[in-house]
Amino acid sequence: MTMDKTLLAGSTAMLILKLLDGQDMYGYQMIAELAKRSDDTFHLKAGTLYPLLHGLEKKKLLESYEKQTDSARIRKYYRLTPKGKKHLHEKTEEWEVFSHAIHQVLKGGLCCEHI
Amino acid sequence: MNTSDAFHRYTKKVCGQIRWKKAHDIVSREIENHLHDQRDAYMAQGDTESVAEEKALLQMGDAVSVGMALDQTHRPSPQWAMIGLVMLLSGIGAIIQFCYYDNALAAAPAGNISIARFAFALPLGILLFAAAYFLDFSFIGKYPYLLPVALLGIDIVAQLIGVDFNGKNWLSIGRFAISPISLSLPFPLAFCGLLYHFRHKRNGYLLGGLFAAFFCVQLVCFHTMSGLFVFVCAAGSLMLFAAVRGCFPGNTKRLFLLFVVAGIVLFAMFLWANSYYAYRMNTLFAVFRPETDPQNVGYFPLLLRNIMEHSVFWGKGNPLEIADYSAILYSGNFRADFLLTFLSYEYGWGIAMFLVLLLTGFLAFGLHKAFRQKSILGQMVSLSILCTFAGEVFVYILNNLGYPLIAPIALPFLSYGTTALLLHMALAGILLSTFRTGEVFRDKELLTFLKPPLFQWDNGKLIISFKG
Repeated sequence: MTMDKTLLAGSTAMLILKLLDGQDMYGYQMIAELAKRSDDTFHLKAGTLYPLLHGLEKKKLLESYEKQTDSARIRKYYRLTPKGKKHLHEKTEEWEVFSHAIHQVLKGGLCCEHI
Repeated sequence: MNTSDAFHRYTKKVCGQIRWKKAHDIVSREIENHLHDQRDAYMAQGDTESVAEEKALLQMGDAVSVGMALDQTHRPSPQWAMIGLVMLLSGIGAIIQFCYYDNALAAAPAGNISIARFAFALPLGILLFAAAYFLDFSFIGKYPYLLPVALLGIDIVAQLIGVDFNGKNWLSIGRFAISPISLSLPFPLAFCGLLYHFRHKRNGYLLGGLFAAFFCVQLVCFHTMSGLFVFVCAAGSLMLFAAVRGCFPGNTKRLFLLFVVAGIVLFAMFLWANSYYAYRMNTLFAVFRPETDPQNVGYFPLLLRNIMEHSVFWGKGNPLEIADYSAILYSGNFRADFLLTFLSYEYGWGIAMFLVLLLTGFLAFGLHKAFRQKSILGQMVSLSILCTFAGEVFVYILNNLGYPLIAPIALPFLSYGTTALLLHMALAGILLSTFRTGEVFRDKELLTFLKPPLFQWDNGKLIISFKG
């Protein structure tokens, strides 16, 4: 099933922050991990990812460091800052309220109410 | 066309959209790395190299759109808060200068600091600040010998054609005279460039120590004890920082040796510098027990403490009982080195406290930003400048509280001195330039990993990289 990309647009930052919650990753790794965790539903374009990562870093939600890999390639890793963690927590709560509301509307207002 | 050429063309197109050229290097490196990772993944799935390359580029998206999106993020970080603090402090300094320093200090080689001369020095200082702010701070690391040679040159010229004043030679240029006291301020920055240059070199820490010793000799010969004190504090902090950051190859034993050697050299310097040792020791003793010799070496500490004791939080202090103290308090010379004491008595120590808090805020904010720098050079440059300012402020406050162990240099941005004003503005400009552009500067050792070697054997192919 092809997904409408606009559905993902507002939530990409939250997904990236979630990916980095607990593990430092580099760009390519994030795309691969996102695809894996979403059962190949989310295929993020690298061209979308990097501006987003750099923007989150500028907002101090992420910080980066460079590390040499076995193949002598220098990779830029990203990690979540305490500010990023807090932001992720807020966004997750916001998303839960939002998705619950959407779900409720789609089910005709009956989905989660006890009858 | 080989793979890396296609990727290189792509990243060049991306960077073509990013107006801030300094950011090009880190952006292109990250994107090229990603393209290589993506290509390798496609090849692992069974695609040929050319197909994998095409798919990797396709996955990345339109280069112009990517570049435009990155352009929105990559801009130099204007340091408005720090600029505001510098301007506020300089403005307060200017008001103090205009109010009090006209026709004072007439004994200085370049004559008194008239309003006309100060009115010229202040815009020049702001210009220097702006020029340094937009300057690429990495010149400190790229040309490590430039500043030390310039400082040595000025000292030699001052010895040859300078005017003797209080035992030190002042170099006069027209109506200006370069103060040897204030000229000690750029020494920590000069040392920082050298130390950065010596990092990762065999025995780099010893070379650093030797140059530190040389600077100490230069400061003792041509400058002042306060300059030496500030330099020792800054150089010590820099060496410790460099050792902690792993800039010197070796183990902790070597580090220990480094500090032992540095300590012995500095102690020897101190003994050598104090040719009038007995007088020095008496002065040192008198600072802590001034009442034992109130008419001689204890006179000034007693005077300063007496003025401070008569100061109130807000408004003019209580009348001083000793007439001599009052005469000294209102002399021009006193206000140069004891501005805070003067302001405490004249307007209340709340005002002096406010100024100290502003300076402390500047230093604390600066330190916070310094440790967020991504490169060792960025951290070292900002640390050397902040240590210089902190050492100066510390000595100045100690003097103003009645503990004149060594004569102060100046109170950054606030106290008297044209050379000090210009140098403080230039140093503040370099500091803010580091904060403005430091996020995209990378140390050379990291960049050398990124340059492909001249000859490379890859999957049965010999690759010769002429571009490096």
